[in-house]
Amino acid sequence: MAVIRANVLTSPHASAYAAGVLDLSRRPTSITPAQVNGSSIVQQAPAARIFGTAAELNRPLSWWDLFTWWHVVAMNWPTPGGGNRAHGGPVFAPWHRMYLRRLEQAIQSVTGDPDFGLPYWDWAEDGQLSGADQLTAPIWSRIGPAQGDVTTGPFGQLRVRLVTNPLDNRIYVVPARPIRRNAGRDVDAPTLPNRDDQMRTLGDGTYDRPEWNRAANSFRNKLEGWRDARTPPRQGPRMHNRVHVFIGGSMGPASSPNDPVFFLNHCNVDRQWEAWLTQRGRTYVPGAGQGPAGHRANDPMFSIVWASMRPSQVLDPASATLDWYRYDALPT
Amino acid sequence: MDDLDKLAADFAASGYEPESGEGEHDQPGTAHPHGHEQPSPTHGHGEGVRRFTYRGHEVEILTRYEVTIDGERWGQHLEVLDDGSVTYHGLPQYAIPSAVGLIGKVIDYEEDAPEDLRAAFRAAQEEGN
Repeated sequence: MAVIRANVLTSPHASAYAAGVLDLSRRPTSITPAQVNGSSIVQQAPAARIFGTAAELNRPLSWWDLFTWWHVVAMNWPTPGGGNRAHGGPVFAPWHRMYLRRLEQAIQSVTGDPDFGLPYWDWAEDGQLSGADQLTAPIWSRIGPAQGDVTTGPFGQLRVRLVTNPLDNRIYVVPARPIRRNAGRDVDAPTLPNRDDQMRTLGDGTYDRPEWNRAANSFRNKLEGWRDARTPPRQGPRMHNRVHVFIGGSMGPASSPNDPVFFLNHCNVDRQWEAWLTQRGRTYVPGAGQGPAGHRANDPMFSIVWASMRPSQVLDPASATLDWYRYDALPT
Repeated sequence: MDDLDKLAADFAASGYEPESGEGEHDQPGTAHPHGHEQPSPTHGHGEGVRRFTYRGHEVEILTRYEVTIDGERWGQHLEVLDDGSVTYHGLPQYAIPSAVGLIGKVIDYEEDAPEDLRAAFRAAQEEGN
């Protein structure tokens, strides 16, 4: 039966989310960085290689680390036209839908609760607050401090080992350390997106269009945050991108899934796509013969561990076929 | 749990093959045997090309950045979007008006990183791994 995904401020599963994240971060896989460095994945996407000392390279990754590496690889696996296997093109929304569902299933598994549904962060609601009030909003009581190393709050015990270094864009395996935040301090994104940004984004009736990239005037590109929904558009990170930049710290580089707020952000992004699909019809472009390979409706999406899916398969998460989830409320 | 352990074991047994299968390769000359594509010419190292048609004219704008930090060549690739914003894979959600500003962000991340993290990066680099 499809689970309910609810606002993290009211969700009955907010505590289970924290417990599940901590469990996955402490649960070792049988997979070491040295092993994946010798795999075909790294041959095909060299930027997926993990750097580190010999001692760290031979220590097994946790399940939480594995989710982070999955995202890093997808982001560093280019597709034609400037995007990659998960961003900068139409596959952005369906790839993250698949990715979040796999985490949801993993948390259901480790918590033994098949009714667990990921919570979302309705950041557009917090975006209605003043900049100062955004830094004291109730969200921080659910995810821990807005600035500095996160050593208190629900994720105070979370330790991560895979970190992208922005200076060389390499992924390193490091001694376990806390995540880090720098919310509200970046002059390019001192505040969150707000209701007006969300409404204007949802007002675009075209899911995506040529050139299918970070310049496209489309719902997907506005939701991802490369193009402002206003006229004339403003420069700078918007919507999904802006939430990453607003939080900063661990949410900055490709290893951003280290911070559990990554999934709260993307769950809200997915909720907005679900609102669009509900309003506009469950369609997806590009289809066969259109757009960049890796982004088409029937292209397999990049996956590790779990079976791959195609964008055309994930358009209705509450369908009898998928029976995954539905949201407690959709934005309008 | 057992099901997660089995998934990891199956992934290892597959030789860590990605679960992406074969794609829909209907653009001649771009397919890779494992379903991924070669980078676009606009996405290589060092140079970026923006192409567009304006009033019937085919236009290409080539942009090349050569960045040094403290006199050392910085070998990463900056890309310019159609609206003039500059992006960089190392900070993948940033699109800001100036390469100057973006390199400043990279340096901010380096300078503001906690010492244990910087030490871990250095240790890996010193071991050559």
